[in-house]
Amino acid sequence: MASAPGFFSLSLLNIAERSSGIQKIHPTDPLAVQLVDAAGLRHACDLDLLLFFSRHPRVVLSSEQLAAYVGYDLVEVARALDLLLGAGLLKRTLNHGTPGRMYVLEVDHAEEWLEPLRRVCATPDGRNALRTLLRERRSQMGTPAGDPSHRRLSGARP
Amino acid sequence: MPERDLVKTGIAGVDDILAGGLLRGSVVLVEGTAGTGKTTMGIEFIYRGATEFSEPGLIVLFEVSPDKLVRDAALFGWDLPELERQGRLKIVFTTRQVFQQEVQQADSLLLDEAAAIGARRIFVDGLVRRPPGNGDTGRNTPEAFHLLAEGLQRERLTAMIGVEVAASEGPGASLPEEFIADTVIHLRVEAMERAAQRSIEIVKARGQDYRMGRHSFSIVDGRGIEVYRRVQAPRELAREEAAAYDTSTRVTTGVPGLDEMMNGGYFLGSTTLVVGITGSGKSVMALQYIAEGARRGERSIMLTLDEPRAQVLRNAATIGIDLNPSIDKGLVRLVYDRPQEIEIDRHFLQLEKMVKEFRPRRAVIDSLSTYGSSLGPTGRSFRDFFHAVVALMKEHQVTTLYNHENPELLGMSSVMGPFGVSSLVDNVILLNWVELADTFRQALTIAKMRANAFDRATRECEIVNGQGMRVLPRQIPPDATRRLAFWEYFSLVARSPERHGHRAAG
Repeated sequence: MASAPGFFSLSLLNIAERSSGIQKIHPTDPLAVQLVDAAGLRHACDLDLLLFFSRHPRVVLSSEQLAAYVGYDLVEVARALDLLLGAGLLKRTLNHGTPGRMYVLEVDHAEEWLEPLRRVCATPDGRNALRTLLRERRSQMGTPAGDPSHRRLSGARP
Repeated sequence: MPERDLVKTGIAGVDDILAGGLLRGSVVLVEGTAGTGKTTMGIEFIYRGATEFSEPGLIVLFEVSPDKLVRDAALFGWDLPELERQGRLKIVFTTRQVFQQEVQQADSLLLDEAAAIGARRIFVDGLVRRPPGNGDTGRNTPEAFHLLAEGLQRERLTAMIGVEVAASEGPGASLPEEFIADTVIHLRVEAMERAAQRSIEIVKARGQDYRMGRHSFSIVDGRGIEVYRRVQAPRELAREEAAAYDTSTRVTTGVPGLDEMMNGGYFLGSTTLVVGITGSGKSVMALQYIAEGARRGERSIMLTLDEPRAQVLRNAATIGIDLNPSIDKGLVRLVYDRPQEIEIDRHFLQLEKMVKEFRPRRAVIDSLSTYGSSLGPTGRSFRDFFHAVVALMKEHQVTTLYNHENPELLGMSSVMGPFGVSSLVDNVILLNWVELADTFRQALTIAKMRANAFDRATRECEIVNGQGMRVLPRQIPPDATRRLAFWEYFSLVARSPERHGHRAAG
């Protein structure tokens, strides 16, 4: 995950250089693989949620609103949130009086690969390539793409 | 009277029209249709607070994503991510529904965020105006807005709230929210012929003075919002009183022969209108006036709307005046402003700034007719503008010539035609062509000079290449062409010159 900088520090410069001039990327492209691994992404929803928080680094939303913004069902979003929270990429504050939760992207932990990831995903082709890669990985692992995890995630409210 | 705790917005010109700033803890509605500058104003309010007044701030967004806001702010040189890193700013994205619920909570996440950085200001972008009676009994009712205002007030935050109004509705129709808010600001983009002009109007500012009316503003790349107080806004009485001119000090005209006609020149701080058809020598007179000032070491401004700077310098050279050394020495400022679609409030503010900073003794405005073309001669705009310029120049004791093109070829039936501002000036000089025999000859008449006995005769003048204009003596000996002096005629300016005792030669 993102909290292990040594894992991808050697290839970061390469990622940044390649992504700055990227035109088209294939799911098997080493850059796509590097970015997905560096971010620790497992599902397409993880990617889209991360991209949403990179555009909106401090939000106060209900779970339903967050799901509506990223376009996945509540269970899937809850699982992805758990992943990002567990990786320390995201901080969440609850307020029991209202349905709003505050999510703050901990940019400092992620900034080495976040910008290259954002640049690649700035085009439909780039984003689709990464989503395809994630789906293919899920298929190889025997889990259908988009199939929500049945784990109950900490703090996530369906 | 206790001193009021004013919050300066820091936005250029806004604190001026707010008579110093906003009262701390105010809830300010900034209303306008899409594209009127609400978001820019709100961001600048927060940015200036954080950077210039050590007041951290919170920005709450509903529609614009924070990364777009950061990108747009960068165009003005505002580095919002850096402010976030320094803990002086937080940008929060939420929905209207959650926001309304949050600020009503005693332990609101949003207000906790504000408190965490010691925020003193908040900007909420994108509340939507709900006209009364639309059946909305939920979160966008006046009651909900009242609760919002209470929540903000509890935290002692000075709040600016951007309110989107429909283009069909426009700001102006009073809504219940306006009664609850402390200050209401309307932003507009108004059609001016085929152009558009931004305006800002403070329609309410509870507990404080403000300058009423619609003031112009611009959104300037690299700087942000700049508000230009409308030129018609009344000035302070003390400034008007300072405008009385000194009747003991004369300012020389630079035109040989003219000082004699005026008993020594213009009074210091006086206003002189030079009227004539095109080519009658108005600009030449103006250039000589400026050059005379430079020769005496006096600072001068020449504001030209008719001719670009290079053209003015070239024209000056043809009459033997090289203005460049005086410009280089800082004695002369030659300023050209394009007359097309002139924004009169901005233009006046720049002129006022220049007069205050440069402190000229002499000034030339060339020409009033061009302002008339921009503002329209018949409405109050032109007269109010001219009045403001005259007051400004008098207050600073700047002796000013205003050129005005009169369309009449021979003589004049009216000094200013439809403009009707000659009563505002101290002196009027008419430059005319008079047709005698087969020749147009140049005539100069002082039609008005306040508080001074002057030569009322119409005198011949001439412009000579390399030398400029001079007023000829009244008695001139007939030259080789047997021309007679003007004094031998009457009705020169009345378009029917006749020689005493004879019909004029024709």
